[in-house]
Amino acid sequence: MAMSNAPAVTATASLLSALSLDGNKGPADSRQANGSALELLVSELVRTLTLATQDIKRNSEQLAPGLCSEENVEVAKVSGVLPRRSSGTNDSEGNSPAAVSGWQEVPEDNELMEQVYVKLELVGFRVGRRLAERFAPPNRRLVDTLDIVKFVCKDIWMILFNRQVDNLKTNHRGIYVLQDNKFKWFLRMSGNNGGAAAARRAQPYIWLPCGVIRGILNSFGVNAVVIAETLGLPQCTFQIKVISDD
Amino acid sequence: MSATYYFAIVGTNDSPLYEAEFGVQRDESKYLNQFVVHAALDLVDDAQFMSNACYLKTVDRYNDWNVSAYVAPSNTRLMLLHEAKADEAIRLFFTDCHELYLKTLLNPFYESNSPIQSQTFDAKVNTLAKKHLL
Repeated sequence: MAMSNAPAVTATASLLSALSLDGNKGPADSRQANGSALELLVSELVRTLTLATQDIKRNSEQLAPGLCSEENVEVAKVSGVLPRRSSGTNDSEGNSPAAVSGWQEVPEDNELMEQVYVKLELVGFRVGRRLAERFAPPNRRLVDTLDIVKFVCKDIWMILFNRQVDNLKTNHRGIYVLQDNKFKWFLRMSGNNGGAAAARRAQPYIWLPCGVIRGILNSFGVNAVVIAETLGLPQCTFQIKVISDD
Repeated sequence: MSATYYFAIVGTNDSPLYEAEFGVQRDESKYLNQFVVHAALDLVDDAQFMSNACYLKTVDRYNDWNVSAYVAPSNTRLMLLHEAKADEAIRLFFTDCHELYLKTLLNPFYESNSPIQSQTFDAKVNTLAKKHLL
């Protein structure tokens, strides 16, 4: 997956809204962060997590073939076996050329990608909880689930991606569909093999926003399941299913 | 008689995350403070549905104590036990404490709903109390 990182082109500085406790510094003093930092961080995060999970899996299989229990993973971690993707010699499956030359293909292993999904989603969840608290409107509380989803579509998307969600659909019975036609992280992605293959490789990058949305909803007390899918870069759709307690 | 205040941050599972007392305290009222605040939580829940604002003014009265509450978006409640009526000052105090709590939350090592034990937090809350309440 060729990701052209062109950081200088649209580097927009995003001003984090200052908390008044920071001493009421004027705009000149407020801390600014480069807007493309998040995109770069996420691409590294996905890659690193996948390789690390691959290592854990491979090493736990080495220690006790066929037994991928928690215990073995812990042993693998403590004995300093992970993460060492650059050592090509102690690798029984011969995956090291891929590891050394750079990750070019989403691993076929479904179990591995499930583990990566769980991790990425959990990271997103924790981030989402904090985002919700930090950026929730200070003067009124959001009570209605629809209001919360609208808050996600407008405010959170503006903070993360500097644009708003293009389309929000709901069936008023707990299902919300958010559609983003120019998903920021997909804008710089391209692949050699055409639409469907590229969409499949882009999957891991939308697991993090799924977790973010779920974290935000959870912070307001709404339990939901968030699924994302992409039919063609750069479009992607997030589907929120609220789990009611009936 | 100097003004005394008891401030508590109550998490989503109704257990206190942080408690502080400002002003001169009378000895026998320490445990009573916790009871009164805990009892007032029910009234806070009722009042939440009445208004959309974060600052619910005085939700309860017990003898001469008033209980004021502020509900953060994540349903964490900031409760203040006080004798005097000082709506505006208390509102400012609550807003500043909420921002302090936000900063604590943003710490990736802080687990939600766990007690806040940082000395810096304590010192800052005391400074805010001196600024707004005393």
